Amino acid sequence: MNDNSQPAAVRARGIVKSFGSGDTQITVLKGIDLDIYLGELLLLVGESGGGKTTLLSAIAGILDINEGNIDVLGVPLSALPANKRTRFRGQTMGFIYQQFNLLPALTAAENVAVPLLIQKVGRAEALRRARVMLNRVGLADRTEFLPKNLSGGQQQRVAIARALVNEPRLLICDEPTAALDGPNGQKIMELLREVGRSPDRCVIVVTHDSRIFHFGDRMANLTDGRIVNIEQISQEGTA
Amino acid sequence: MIVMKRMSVWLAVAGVGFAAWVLTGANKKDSMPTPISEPPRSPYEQVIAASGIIEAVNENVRVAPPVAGLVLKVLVKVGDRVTEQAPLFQLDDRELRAQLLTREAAIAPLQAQIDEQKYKIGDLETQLQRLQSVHDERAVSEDELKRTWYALEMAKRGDQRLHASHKQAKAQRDEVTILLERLTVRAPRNGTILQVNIRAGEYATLGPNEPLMLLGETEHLQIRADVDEVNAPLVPPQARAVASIKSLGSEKIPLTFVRIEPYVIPKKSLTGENTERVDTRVLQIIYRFKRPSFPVYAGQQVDVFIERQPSSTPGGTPPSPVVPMEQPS
Amino acid sequence: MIGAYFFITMIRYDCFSSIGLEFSTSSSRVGDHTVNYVALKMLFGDRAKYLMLLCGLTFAVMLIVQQGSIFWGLMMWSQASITNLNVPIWVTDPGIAQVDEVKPLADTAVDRVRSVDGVEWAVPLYKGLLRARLATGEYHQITLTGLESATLIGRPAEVLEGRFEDILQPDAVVLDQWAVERMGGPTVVRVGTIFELNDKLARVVAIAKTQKSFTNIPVVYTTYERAMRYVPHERRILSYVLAKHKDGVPVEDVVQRIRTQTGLGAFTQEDFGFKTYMWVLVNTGIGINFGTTILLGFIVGMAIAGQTFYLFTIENLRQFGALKAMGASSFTLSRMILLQAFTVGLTGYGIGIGFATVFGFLTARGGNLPFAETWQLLLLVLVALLAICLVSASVSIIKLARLEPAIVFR
Repeated sequence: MNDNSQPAAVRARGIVKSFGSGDTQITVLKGIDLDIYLGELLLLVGESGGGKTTLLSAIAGILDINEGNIDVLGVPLSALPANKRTRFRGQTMGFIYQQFNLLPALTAAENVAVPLLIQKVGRAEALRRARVMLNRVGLADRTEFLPKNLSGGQQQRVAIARALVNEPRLLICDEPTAALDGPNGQKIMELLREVGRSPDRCVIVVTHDSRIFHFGDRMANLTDGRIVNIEQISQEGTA
Repeated sequence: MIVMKRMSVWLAVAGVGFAAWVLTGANKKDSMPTPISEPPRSPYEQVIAASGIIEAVNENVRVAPPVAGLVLKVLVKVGDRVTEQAPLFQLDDRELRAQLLTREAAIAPLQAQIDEQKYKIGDLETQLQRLQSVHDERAVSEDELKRTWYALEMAKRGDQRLHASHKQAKAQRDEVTILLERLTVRAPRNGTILQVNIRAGEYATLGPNEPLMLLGETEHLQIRADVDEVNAPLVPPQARAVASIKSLGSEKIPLTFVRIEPYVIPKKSLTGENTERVDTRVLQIIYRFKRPSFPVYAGQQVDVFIERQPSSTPGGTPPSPVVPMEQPS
Repeated sequence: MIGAYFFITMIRYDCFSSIGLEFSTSSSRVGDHTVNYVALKMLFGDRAKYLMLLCGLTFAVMLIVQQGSIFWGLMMWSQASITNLNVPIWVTDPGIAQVDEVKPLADTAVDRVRSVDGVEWAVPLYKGLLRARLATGEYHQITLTGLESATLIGRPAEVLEGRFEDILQPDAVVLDQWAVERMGGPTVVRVGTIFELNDKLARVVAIAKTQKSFTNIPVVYTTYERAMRYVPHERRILSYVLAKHKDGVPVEDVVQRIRTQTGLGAFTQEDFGFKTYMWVLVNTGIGINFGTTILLGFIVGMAIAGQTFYLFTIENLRQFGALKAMGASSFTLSRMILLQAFTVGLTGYGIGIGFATVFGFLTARGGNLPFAETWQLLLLVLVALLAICLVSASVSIIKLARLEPAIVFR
């Protein structure tokens, strides 16, 4: 499943990113090489301020890097112009955030439909597909609820549905369990493994929550702007 | 939420609608109220406007008495049409009438004397014939014959004198008759009595005070139009013109050009304020017109529009404006 | 107009779709509109923020419209003596500064104006100040207006009591309703009241309705001929020649021709009104005092509007960041922000002018308060408001373009 002969979905080479300039310049990423493969769930762990979120932003194409290059699904992301990169992101990536980032004014189904709406899918069709996706994350009876009327776990499920509704090849999760209690975090990770992980998709999860480490296939440790080690995790415990 | 957003939007639409409604209502300018009568409008493309006054064609006659005297009888009243020589009023003639009696009385004795003289002449003639037929010189003396002949010649002269006296007496009677005739004041020409300022029993005096009677010609009126001297060079002689009386602006009276008064005079304010200082001089143009269907009166103010030829520019050399119409040049 | 497009878009998605009038359009069009739907949901969804925003904009619009209308109303009052007569062309001395400053002309001026091509009619007008003495012994300064007797051109359109035509009776005058008010109310002055004008008898036969004037000096109407009897001896009495252009001839041409041909000053009603209120603006304190007040109101109003909308977008920046991460292009986001700005701007505008109009309608109906709302003012406010919305939206758009993407991951 995670065998290295497969072509890498994400292929990062020599990534350097620094903020500011002159004396105040801080280099956050100091030469990162990383391959991520389809079908795997990669955990990106490390200390706070270690550069996890910056790396994630770089892979997502939100942030321009200073050196190195990133290929996503064979597309040289850092070479694409901004507007094409944005469209590419909308078509191939899904995002899950620590704070869910749901639009408070929209119902659960509408929130899930937003990526489709951005892709210019008709509203009725978008809402239909959103409801299907909400059904898959177990919220079939909550489609017309506003985010404020949902629990934290439910909100994150909506966020997962929203990230997956586009059938993205890359699912990028930033501390998805940090705002949740232990059991809810476990449930979310289970959902991510069950629904999110598929043979033609790779899932990247940034976390520092050791309780969910066992959900990953591999775990990359990012410390002080460098990947210090990549560890294969055995799945027997949960399989 | 839906109601909320709907409400605000509908409120906004209502606000715009209300403002539009009020604005269309408030900013709708009332059209000018229609004038109670048509304002004077020109019938021509290019005009010179003037204000005019209607007056009689001939000057009015201020009838005066031949002598001062008591008025016995007034024979006409205001508005009467009179023909020439029609009696107007009668002055006291009793004195002259009395004189006439005396004068007439003086004629009869003279006539009697003339008759008497005629017999006297006849008698003498007979006597003279008889004396001449006697051939006896002794019977008729030469002296006697001569005396008779002289007597006859004297009688004939006496007759002539008497005839002269008779004629004189008659002339004296005729004089009084004519003087009497004079005391009946007659119209000097056809016209209308405009004013009568004397009553029977009043004493008519001679002098420059108000006329005893005003005789005028109202049948033929004319219009005297005042053109501001600024516009004077623009007035073409012989131009067509119309006039309308105030308060009947739509009724146009066609005018016929008569003449332009050759002297530009200070404008007489039609309001009659003679204490005003004059600051405008006007050119006066006289027009004739036919009486329109509605009554017009001498002294009425009119608005006059004179046609101006678009081609004739004031820079050109117009013919002398003072060309009387009815005179061969 | 962009605003109108957005407004219509909004109405479609906001109202029609909610009552089931969905339009079937091509997919790309629908796609366009669905993002707009998201934007509007974002705007309307946060009720408290939306209300605050709306209140700010409404208040700003109301403030500006009301101040502007009162100012304009005052200006209208200053040219009341022109608009009350309602005649297209005014001819007077070329050196005149404003309508109440009379420079008499020679009598023949009427005929000289009539002689100008394109003039349909011209009539004389007397206008001057006189003292009226009431039976009670009170004195009042009045404006005597002498209208040409045959046509009565320049008379007010509306008469409250009596018949205006009765002015042709001997010694008859007509008052306006402000004269009645100023001279002591309907108990003192009414139809039939006799008073003295310059020691001569005047009898009220009618009361006319006019626009209140700036100086609020009562207006007494009489005929031109009779006015000459009332006024003291002067060399010239003709104050104005009122004229009308022939139909089909542009009024400006006629005015120009009167000027060149007669050497007199000729103005259209509008120009003369403009001249008069410019004079008032420059020569009285009203211009500077009111001008600053209005400017202040405008600035305050616009600052409130800009500030509230800017705050709104700043608070939503995180949501826009999430949309950006989901693949919404900067163009799409800009459009969403603009849509929000124009929607709330137009809504606030509508409610604002609605309230201002209601205020004006209720308070100024009697004519006692100067309040003249004009479409020009409303248009100016609309343009200014949309400009302010555009500016604050642009600031937000620039901020969004420079958005630190990490914000979505925090």
